[in-house]
Amino acid sequence: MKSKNIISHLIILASTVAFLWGIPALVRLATYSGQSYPFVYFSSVVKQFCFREGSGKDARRYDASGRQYSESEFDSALPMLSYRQLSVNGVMPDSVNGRAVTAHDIRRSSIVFRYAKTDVSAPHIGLYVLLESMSGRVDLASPGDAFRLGEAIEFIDIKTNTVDKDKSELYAQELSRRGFTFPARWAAGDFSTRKPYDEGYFVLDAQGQLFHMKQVSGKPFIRNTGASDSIRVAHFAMLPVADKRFYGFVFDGQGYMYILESPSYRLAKLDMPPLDMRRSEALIMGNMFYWTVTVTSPEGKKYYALDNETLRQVDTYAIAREANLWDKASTWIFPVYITFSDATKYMQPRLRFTAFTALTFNLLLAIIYAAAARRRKKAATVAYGSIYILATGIAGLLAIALQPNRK
Amino acid sequence: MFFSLIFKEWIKTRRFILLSGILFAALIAYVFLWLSQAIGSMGIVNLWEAIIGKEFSLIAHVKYLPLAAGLLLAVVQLTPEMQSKRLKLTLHLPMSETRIICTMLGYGIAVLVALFAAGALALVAGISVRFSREVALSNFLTALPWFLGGLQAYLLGAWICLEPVWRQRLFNAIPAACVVSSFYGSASPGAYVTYLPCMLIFIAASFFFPLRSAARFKDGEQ
Repeated sequence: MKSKNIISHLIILASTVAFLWGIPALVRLATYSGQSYPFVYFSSVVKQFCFREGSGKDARRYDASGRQYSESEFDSALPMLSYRQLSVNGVMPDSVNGRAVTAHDIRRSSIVFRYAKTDVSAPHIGLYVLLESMSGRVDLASPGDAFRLGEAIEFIDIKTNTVDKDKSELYAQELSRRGFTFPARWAAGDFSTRKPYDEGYFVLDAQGQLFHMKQVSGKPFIRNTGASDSIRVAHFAMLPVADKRFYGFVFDGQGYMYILESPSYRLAKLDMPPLDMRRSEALIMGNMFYWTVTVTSPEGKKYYALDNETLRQVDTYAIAREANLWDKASTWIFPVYITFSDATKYMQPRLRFTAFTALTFNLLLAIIYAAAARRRKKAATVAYGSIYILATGIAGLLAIALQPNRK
Repeated sequence: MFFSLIFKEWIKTRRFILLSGILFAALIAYVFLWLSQAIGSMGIVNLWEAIIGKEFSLIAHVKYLPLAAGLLLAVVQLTPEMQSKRLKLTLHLPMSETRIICTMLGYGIAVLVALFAAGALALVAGISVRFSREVALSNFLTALPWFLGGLQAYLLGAWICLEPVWRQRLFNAIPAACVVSSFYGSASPGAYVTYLPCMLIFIAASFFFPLRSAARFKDGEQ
């Protein structure tokens, strides 16, 4: 067969690509260990970040100044977090920072929000469910229809699987009347019925304007929030909060975070550096005095304490990530490897470069190959194989070694 | 000669085609039976909401069927050729060996594409009765890498089956397993859209791999 050599090369190339993904994936599985960070929360009593490492009897509790705490002292230092335990123990303070507090107040003003880097890049089915925001009932209920939003808005009756033309027309007209331009780029909302209230969806139109869309007493409620007048809206995440202070979090094109206040649609910026939305994740734990914002990136964790009223930064802290066995091994064994991107929920293969130091390992492999093959193979084949191994490393070596010997 | 070769492949695989057709039909019927039970127990509204909000898949049961079909077809079609070295007779037909192997592989691909297309069509058509086109498309996109994985498994299976040396078969199986496993990751519906070009390149490249095994056989590798 004339093309036998070409096919042999093709097999080696395909095997190398497969091994550039498979071998590092296996090595990572065996060597990667996630770093254990302490639990961090900003104390509204001692006005410092407080830390808890470990759990149970071995737990170590301390603050940023280095002072150590017993378990009960730690609870008292963090009443916004431990109010249930303090209430059970009968030591819940009547006031914190000169402000009267009850467990109900604390619960009502507490928020927890998570941003994952895959939130902005994930496949979406293209269907949404719009709840009735003002049904007159305490509990939210499923509407029995879903809508698609693209070039137009269409409500689909779930039971009959047909388009509800009247409702679709009603919403299309109202969107158009309010200045909405189709097609919609995205819609963000939460149609869970297990939440205190519903605020529908926030939809970015073709012009980049952020609209609020919900159903109130069976009628469409559409408003242009005006948020896009001051920033380029890149992402919105809805968060139902008990005190209805804001609708959710807006991210601009640079990664700065804002809250979209309710009902004014005013943007209030979080006083912290922009988030690298493709690499970083954020966790916000807020209470009536301070918000503790944890930003996790490949470099480590950064903590920001923000004043609850002004969202001004009052303190910051950072813990650098320590290199684990995988980090060390990969920089010596794999100068380049293929992985599926963790910044998206799509299966996107990515070529990763680690460090040039790994070329030393590749060089060693190439020399071993050349020494082992020089007596059995032609000089040109050995030279080609050595250069190939120098470029592709252990993946290329394995791909060549697993295929029948060529002279 | 071409049609004679196709007829020879048909003789070898007709029982497999019949059996796998029955198995596909039975599993698809089971999917719809399970779906009607899910609608009955959960309610159609809850099921829609689970699909929209929780990426609930309606076709998870068929995930590994195309993989099994692809591998089995390679074994059923090509193992008889390797028994008593019958491939030697085939390669002596008045056609170039490349055309002979390509015809055999083309036949296998055509059988699998027909089987998978019928299966996918039945699934999409069935889902479309109670669900919108977005749900049907999402489930189709979920199943597409599984079906492509079946084609990939067939071609790599053929590469391994036609290989005359047992040790080399094992060596070939290592990168083959690596490639096929990348088609079956757990991912959100539609997540594989960005990986489709890579899958198609792998499938197109591996169409030629069995030619090398056949050439090694013809060269008398033991």
